[in-house]
Formats: sequence, C-alpha cells, structure tokens
Amino acid sequence: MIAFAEAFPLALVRPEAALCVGLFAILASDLGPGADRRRAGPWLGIAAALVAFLLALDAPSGAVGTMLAIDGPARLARLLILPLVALLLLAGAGERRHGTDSGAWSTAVVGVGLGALVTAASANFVSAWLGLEMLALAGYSLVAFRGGDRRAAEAGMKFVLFGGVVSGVMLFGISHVYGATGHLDFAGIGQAFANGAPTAAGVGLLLAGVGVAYKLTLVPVHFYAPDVYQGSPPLGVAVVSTLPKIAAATALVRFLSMAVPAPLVDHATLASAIAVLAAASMLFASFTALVQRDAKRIIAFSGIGHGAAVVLATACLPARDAAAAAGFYLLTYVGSNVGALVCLSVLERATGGSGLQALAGSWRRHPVVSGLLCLFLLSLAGVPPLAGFLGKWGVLQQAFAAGLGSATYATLATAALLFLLATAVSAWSYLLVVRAVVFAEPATPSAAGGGTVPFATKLALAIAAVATVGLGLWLDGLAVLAKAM
Amino acid sequence: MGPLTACIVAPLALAAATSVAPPRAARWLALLGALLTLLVGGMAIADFAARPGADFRFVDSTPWSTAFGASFTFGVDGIGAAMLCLSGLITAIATIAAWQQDKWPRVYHALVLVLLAAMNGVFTSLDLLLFYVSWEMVLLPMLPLVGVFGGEQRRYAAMKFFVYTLAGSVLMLAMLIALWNATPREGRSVVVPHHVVAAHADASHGTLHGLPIDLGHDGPKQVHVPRGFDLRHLALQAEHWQGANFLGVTLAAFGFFAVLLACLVKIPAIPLHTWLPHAHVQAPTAVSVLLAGVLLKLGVYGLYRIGVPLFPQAAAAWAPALGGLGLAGILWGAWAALGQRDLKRLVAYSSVSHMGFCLLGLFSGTVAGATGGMVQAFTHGLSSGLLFLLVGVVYDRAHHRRVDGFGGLARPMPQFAWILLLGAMAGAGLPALAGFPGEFLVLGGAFTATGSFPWLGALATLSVVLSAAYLLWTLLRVAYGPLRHPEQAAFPDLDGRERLAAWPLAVLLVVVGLWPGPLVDALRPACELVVQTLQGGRP
Repeated sequence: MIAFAEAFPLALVRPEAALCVGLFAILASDLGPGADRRRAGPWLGIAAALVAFLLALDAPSGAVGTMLAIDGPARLARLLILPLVALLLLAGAGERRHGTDSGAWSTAVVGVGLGALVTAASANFVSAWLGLEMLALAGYSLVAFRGGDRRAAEAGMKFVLFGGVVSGVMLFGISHVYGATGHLDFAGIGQAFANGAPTAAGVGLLLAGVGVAYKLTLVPVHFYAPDVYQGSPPLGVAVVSTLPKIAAATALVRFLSMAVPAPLVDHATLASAIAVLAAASMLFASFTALVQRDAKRIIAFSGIGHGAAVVLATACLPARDAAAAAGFYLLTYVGSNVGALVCLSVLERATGGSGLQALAGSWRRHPVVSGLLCLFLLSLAGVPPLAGFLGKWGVLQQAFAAGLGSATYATLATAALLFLLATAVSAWSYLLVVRAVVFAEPATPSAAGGGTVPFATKLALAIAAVATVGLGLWLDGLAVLAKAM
Repeated sequence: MGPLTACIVAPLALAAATSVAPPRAARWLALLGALLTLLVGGMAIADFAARPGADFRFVDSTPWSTAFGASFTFGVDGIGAAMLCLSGLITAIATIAAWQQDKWPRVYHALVLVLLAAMNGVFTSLDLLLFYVSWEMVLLPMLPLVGVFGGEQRRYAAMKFFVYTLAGSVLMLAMLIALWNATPREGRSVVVPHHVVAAHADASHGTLHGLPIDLGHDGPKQVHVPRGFDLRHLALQAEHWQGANFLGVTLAAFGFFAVLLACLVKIPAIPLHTWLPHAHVQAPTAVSVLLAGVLLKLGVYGLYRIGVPLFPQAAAAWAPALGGLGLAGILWGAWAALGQRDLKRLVAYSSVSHMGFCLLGLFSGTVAGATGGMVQAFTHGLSSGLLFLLVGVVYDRAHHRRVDGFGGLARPMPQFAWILLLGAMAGAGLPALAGFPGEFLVLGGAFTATGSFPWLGALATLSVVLSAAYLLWTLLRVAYGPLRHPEQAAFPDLDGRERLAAWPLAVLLVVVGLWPGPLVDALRPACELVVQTLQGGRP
C-alpha cells in the first residue's frame, strides 16, 4: 500500500480524480429511476468540474512517476480545461434538454475533459497517447451525436478514420523513438538524444508530433476539421475544437522543452521551423475561409488559424512568458469560440442549418443571440477591445520580442507580421457570418419566432460574453498567468 | 474622474442605459452624451484660446496595467481640444438628424454613443495602447451602423469599410509591440530637446510629462523615461526608434509606415480612398455626417499626434512625397467629384479633395501649413457635415440622389437653397466662410516652404477653381433654374428638426469664417510644436 502511494501520489492528481468521480456519478445517475434522471447528468458533471477546479487552484507540483508531470503548464491547463468543461456542460444542459441520450452526452464531454487533463500533464509518450486516445474516442461520439442524421454520422466516420490513421502514425513514430533511445518518457528521450541519435529517431519524433499537430489542426493535418465540424452538432464542435487544443498545446510545450535537446536540432532552426509551420497554417486558413459558405466551416478554418497562433507562441519557448501567452491566447479563444458555437446551436435549431443561406436574417428570430454571435465572431477576429485582441497581443509580443532580438530568429518576427496579415484577411470571413445573421433579410419571411432560449443556454452565453468583453481589457491577465506558472 | 475621462465613460454608460430606457428616450441619451462632449471640448478650446500653449491640459490618469505600463491617461492640447469639440458637435447634429430613427432606435443610439466614446478616446488619449484600442473600437459600432441601418448595398459597403480600415491599422499593432520591446525593462534616460522643455516643462513642480526633471542648470536637460505606452514619453525617445532595427529597416521607418498606412486609409488619401464612396453612399444620412465630419479627421489627428512626434526623422524624409500625395488627393478628388452623378458620391469625393489639404499643410513643415491643415480638418467637418445633411434632406423627399433628378428646388424650398448655397460656398473656400482660413493657411505655408512645396501649393490652387466648379455647378442644377420635375414643387421646405440640425452648422461656417481667431490661437502652439519636431527630424 505504501509502495503504491509512493508510485502514485494521489494528492497530485486530485482534480483528475474528482472529475473521474463525476464521470462515474453521471453514469450511475443514469441507472436510477425517474423520468428526470437524464437532467441530472450535466449538473453532476458541472459540480465535479467545479470541485476539481477548486482543488486545482492550489495544487502542488510534482511528478507521477515518469508518466505525468504536474508542472506550471499542466496546472495552467487545468485552470483552463475545468471551467471550460463546466461551461460546455452548462450549454449542453440548455441546448440538449430534448435529447433522449440520458447521461451519455455529459459522460462524453467529461471524458474529453479527462483525456485533456491527462494529455496536458503527460511527460511520457504512453500517457500522452492514452490521453489523446481518450480525447479522441469521446470526441468521436460527440461529433456523431445526432441520431438519424446522416451528415453527423458521416462527420463521425471521417473523424474516426482520420483520427485512427493519425494515431497509428503517432504510434509508429513512438516505436522508432523507443527503438533508438530505449525511452518513452520525454526526459529520458531528451537525455538520449543529447548524446547523439540516429536520423531515424528524429523522424520518429516528427511522426509522433503529427498526433499533436492533428489535435491543433495544423496544416497539413488540418484537413479533417472543416468536414467534421460542418456535419457535427455545434456543441460537439465546441468540445472538439477547444479541449483537444488546450491539451495538445500543453503537451507540445512540455515535449519541446524536455524531449528536444539542442544537439539534435539547433534551437533557432527549430523555432523557425515551428514559426513557418504556424504562419503557413494561418495564411492557409484565412484565405481558404474566404470562400466558405457555412458558418461551421468558417469556425473550423478559424480554429486552424487560432491553433496556429498558439503554436507560434510555443516557437518562442523557452522565453519567459511564452507559455503564458499561449495559455492566455487559448483562454480568450475558447471563451469566444464556445460562445459563438452555442449561438450557432440556438440559431441552427431555429433555422435548420448552419449554411450562410439558412442563417440569413436570423436576427428576426433571435435578435439577442444574433447580436452576441457577432460579438463573439469579432472577438475571434481580434478586434479590440474584445478578448481575442489581447490574446493576439500576448502572442505577437512574444514573437516580436524573440524575432527582433537577434537576426537568427528573424523568422519569428516575419511570422508575426504574417499573423497580422492573416488577421486582416480572416476578418472578412467572420463578416460573412455577420452579414448573413444580422445584415440580411430572411429568405422566407416567417412570422414564427425561434422558440425560447433555455435558461442554462442564456447563462452559458452570458458567461462567454462577460469573458469576451472582460478579458479584452484585462491587460495584466498575461502577467497573472505567467505568475501562476 | 476628470472631464476628459467623463467624455469616454459617460457615453458608454449612456449606451448601456439605452437598453433600459424607453425607445423614444434613447435619442435624448445620445444627445446628452454629445452635448457633454461638446461642453468639455468647448471648455478646453476656450482655455487654449485664452491661454495659448502647446502643453497638455486636463490630464487625467487611471492605472490600467502595471505589467505593460499602460494607463487610461487622457489629456488634450489645442489640437485635441478642437477635435473633441468637433466630435461632440457633429454627434449632436447627427443625433438631431436621426431624431425620427424608427428602426430599432435604442440599438441605433446606443451604437452612436459607443462610437462617440471611441472617437473621444482617440482624440484625448495620451497612451498609445489606449489610442490604438479606441482607434479600432470605432469600427465596432460603424459596422452595424452602416450594415444594418444603411441603404441597398449596405452589407458590402459595411464589410468593405471594416476590413479595409482594419487591414490598414494592423501594422500599428506590430509597431506598438515593437516600441515596447525596444525599451529596456528599467526604462532609459533621454536628453529632452530644448523646444519640448520650453513647451511642456512644469517649472513649479520640476516635472516634464509627470517625470522629474532638473531644470536648474543650463546644460542639456535629461529625464528618465519608464517603459510603457505614454505617448509623451514615447515621443521623447524618437532618437532611439531611429536607432533600433526592425527586420532590416529602422524601427522609426517601420513605425512611421504603420501609422501612415492606418491614417492614409482613414483620411482617406488616394489611392487608399476607394472604401469611402461606398461607405458614404450606403450609410444613412446621420452616419454619413459622422463619417465625413469626424471619422476622417481621425487619420489627420493620428499623423499630428503619433506619426510626426514619434518618428520625426522618418516623417521628414517622407514629407515631400506625402505633400505630393496630398496634392494628388486634392486634384484627383476634385476631378472625380466633377464627374459624379450621385450627390452623396459627389460630396464624398469632395472630402477626398479637401482632406488632401491637411496632408499638404502638415508636411510642408511650416507653422502656417500645419495650423492650416488642422483648421481645414475642423472646418471640413462643419461643411461636409452640412452638405451631407442637405443631401439627406432631398433624399428624404425624392428618394433618390441623382444630380440630374433635381432642378429649381429653390422655389419650393428657399431656406434649403440658401443653406446649400452657404455650404457650397464654404466648401469652395470662399473668403469670409469657414472653408477659407484653412486652405489659405495651407497654401500660404506651402508657398513659404522649402523644396518642391511652392510648386505643390501652386498646383493645389487649381482645386479652388475645380471645387468652385463642381459645387456651384451642382448648386445650380439642383437648386436654381426652372423647376424641372413638377412633382418637386410640392416638396416642403426644411422642417423644424432639419433646421435645428442645419442652422448651427451654417452659423458656425460664417462665424469661423469671419472670426477664425480663437480656433487658430488654440491650434497654433500645438501645431508649432509638431512642426518644430518635424524640422528637428531633418538631416
């Protein structure tokens, strides 16, 4: 027993344990009698997430064997993931109140959250892979979560197939790394590489990185996102476009700082390569989004661009505050992104689709929700004084600080300029949605209203709106996050 | 909370209040916000007219971020005071013009109030980050004001306006960050130029821009500038921006380019003016008045406040080219206006022409020119606001704006015709009306300036002929001659609300034209300082 406690110090993973308990509580409540039992699911999950959040606020640092590292980035990721899980469940409680799925939806969301926590804390390829798989499996079901809807089924199928291939590629890479170094933990791999390593091992690392890039929807492994998001219910998109990004970004931060030592690849080269990859993603996403005619596809390309911005911040590692900038960026992104998708969920229910034509004139049915959608989209576009602006501010500041400081890192500053270009271009695609939702008249004038918006949805939207406006003026937020790490 | 902070906070609070106010009361809230701004602006301009000086007054600071050294610092010099005054005045006029707004009046007036707060933020902030946030925040209310409340092609016009101006100013964000990164964590000591000490140092407190300075000795005066975004502190470090590197060019060159791009789009200078005719034609009358009356001035103001003071060497190096660009705008705008068939497009192109004088004046590097540029910005706000109002008046009656669709309106609408005559004369720069002093000073400045500026000035005088041609010709076709469309005989003359909107502008056009003294007195010292800075940047 003592040996177990030493090998697995439960005190370090209390938040994860609390969320786990919540997951089982939802499943158990599903078995109970009563017609209202399915309503309990989201609230149990929210309670578990909030308890876990409170536990995470003052959590100790440490390591669980070589598997998990509860370090600064992991603790920061928890503080992002847990409230986000609660917010998503809250939105689900409102939007899915007519669902016949009992506790399944809430279970899947909590499952994604748990997978995200594990991935974010992973210091070993085994835990990273397990975490990513947990994220993915729960995510597959959320994407296809619309019984009888062929598009959702198609989206789920695509997600499963691509996800399976990518996870196979990742395992293939991991096996090469293990073969070359004899290690699966990041620290051990880093040490082994420091003493020199065959090229095959470097290629193995690259392949293993594909799994992370996939979750961050980085070009060229972004291709699944638009198709999957388009077919999926908006709340499913809200889950799979946010939680995996936080998890993968945190794992990337740790991976870069532990497993990629200087002898393997010169730091300036690595940073430049990451910056080039990020800039390519941003430009690709912003230009491709211009020709989309479906709000969820636009959200997908926006997610590709925003994921790339986080990656640009990681290129500035190990600079002080680069991880905090990435964290703050994710914070502002998830607030606005979830808000936008909850709005789309309400509008989709009223209009029957997320195509720009279906959304035309939504303001007649839901004026407030339509207005809020515009607010969230403008925040995603990065217009001050909304939250997205400040997220961008932090990343740009890191990239310029690194890029202007020395000539060898000039690529980072160039990438930052391209980021600004992509911002300006992508604004047009967000405006396409704004135009459809508030500027246009409905194609078929109907007197019928859009139905009422449930209280839980209103609450979720209010929280997202407060975050979107409030975070935009919280200039010290970056410093606070940096200190929290 | 000082009066300037109130000019930002009160409109925002009033905008929030519209959501609980009865729909018919929203317009009163908008008017209240505008009049408050006008009061503070008028107070400030009176103060500067009475005690001329280039210092910043009514300075008022609330901490924002300790990590970045940013703060909600507001303050105005003569330039800021004039612009604040214009912002309040034009918003009040626009609110009266939109008094009968029946589509979503609460939303409409709330948006106007947010716009007012953002404009006031640009004109009064002494913190570069706050300036930038206000600058971009202008776009947020403008998007729905054009896109929801505008005309037939409002959607395209709103999106084009938004993305065009956003794209113009994104580089400013890079500049902001680069400036911050180029300052050491502990700040730096800088030698303050003599003219800045003379203009700004507060001898009784031994401070300069809130920083301690030793004024006791005769040698070069030094201050220690902290890291942050205070505009006044950033301007003191101009030498360092000139020395710092930004991807192969000097930081000053990049920074000036970034500010210039943002400002040229807003002014708008050719060839970046192509958003303007669209936005103007599609915007509702009151929003056109705001756009021409205040928003275009943001660009001019940005160059006076940020472009030249922070990057004088780069500005001096670019000055001849920018003077030429000003001239190109003056002539091209006037030439294009001659060919317009839509009244709103005509006034929009005349704006391009008139705003060119601001560029020509500032970059002539003469006190007369720079002062004239700012006077022109102010008076153009009055005259173009009036002209857009009057176009709105005929549009309300005829539901079209084709120049050839009118004729002899002076008969049914004598008062309208008189005011149109006044507005057109003022726009054409006739002496004794407000259009005159600005253009006169700019041309006078250009003639006394060095280099190619006398030639530019000489060519710019052509615009006097051109603008007289397009304005008076239009006046002739619209208001005089026989009544070509019989149904227009029944058009009622200006009603009470229209008179209330038009008369104050008409009266001011005469008053400022006859008695530009106080305005010029208030503007001159601040403009003189800008010119000294620009000349200090010459090699």
